[in-house]
Amino acid sequence: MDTKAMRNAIKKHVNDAHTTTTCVWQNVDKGAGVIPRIELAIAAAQRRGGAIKGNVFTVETGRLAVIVCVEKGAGEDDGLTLADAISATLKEGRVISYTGGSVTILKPPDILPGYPDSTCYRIPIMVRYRAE
Amino acid sequence: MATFTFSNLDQWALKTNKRLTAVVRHATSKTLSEIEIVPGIMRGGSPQRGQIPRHLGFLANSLTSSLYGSTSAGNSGEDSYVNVIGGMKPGDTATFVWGAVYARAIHYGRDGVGGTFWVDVAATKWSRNVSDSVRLAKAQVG
Repeated sequence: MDTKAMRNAIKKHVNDAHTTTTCVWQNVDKGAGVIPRIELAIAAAQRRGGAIKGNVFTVETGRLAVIVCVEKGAGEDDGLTLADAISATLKEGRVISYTGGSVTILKPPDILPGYPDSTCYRIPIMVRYRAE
Repeated sequence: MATFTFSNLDQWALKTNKRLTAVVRHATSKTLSEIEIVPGIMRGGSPQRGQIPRHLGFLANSLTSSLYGSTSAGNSGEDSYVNVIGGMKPGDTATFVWGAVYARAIHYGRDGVGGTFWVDVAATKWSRNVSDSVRLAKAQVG
């Protein structure tokens, strides 16, 4: 499995669907202070192989965290609208292809309760996926 | 290895139920005990994915563990899951919640500091832990 290609495919898929909103990937400062923005991170991932039993494929199941950051103190509406749009982008059953494999969204994304930090209001969306 | 027939079906069911209970308790305990509590950034630490950072507050100790929503005395604190798991049976609904006000901010990230997502990391390990517990239960069948 080409991890870079797989994760870049997820990033590109979200980025292409939300061209008017800044997307921030892990370890990238560009756009970090922009509001509104979408932050993406792989929250957890685990791989299964089975090469010892003759299986040649590696499968990764994981959770992608998409954090919507909107203006602090301006209510939740804008954030929830964006969260719904991201849920539609990463809806259950969506298949994102990349060279050598594909990523499948396993269930509808969970839009979780938001919380403020010092500069914005953050709404986490957790997305379960399987990559192979 | 014991041999079960129709005449001792009750005994078989009882043994099976005990093994199921052992698997549920062992897998749940393993999943929660694997969540590491480490020094936070304010204490010079560098928390990683799956870890609960201990800064200056009571995040780790804000864990409330419950079975069917019951939060009787003794079910709060960072080791409170032990009390609940001891009473768990297959099919029960157990809840483990870190109730500190800032828990979500630490878990999902804030102010340019990435989250450590300890719940998601633990959940990802769940199926592996169940498989390990099943293997252990099978190995102990005499």
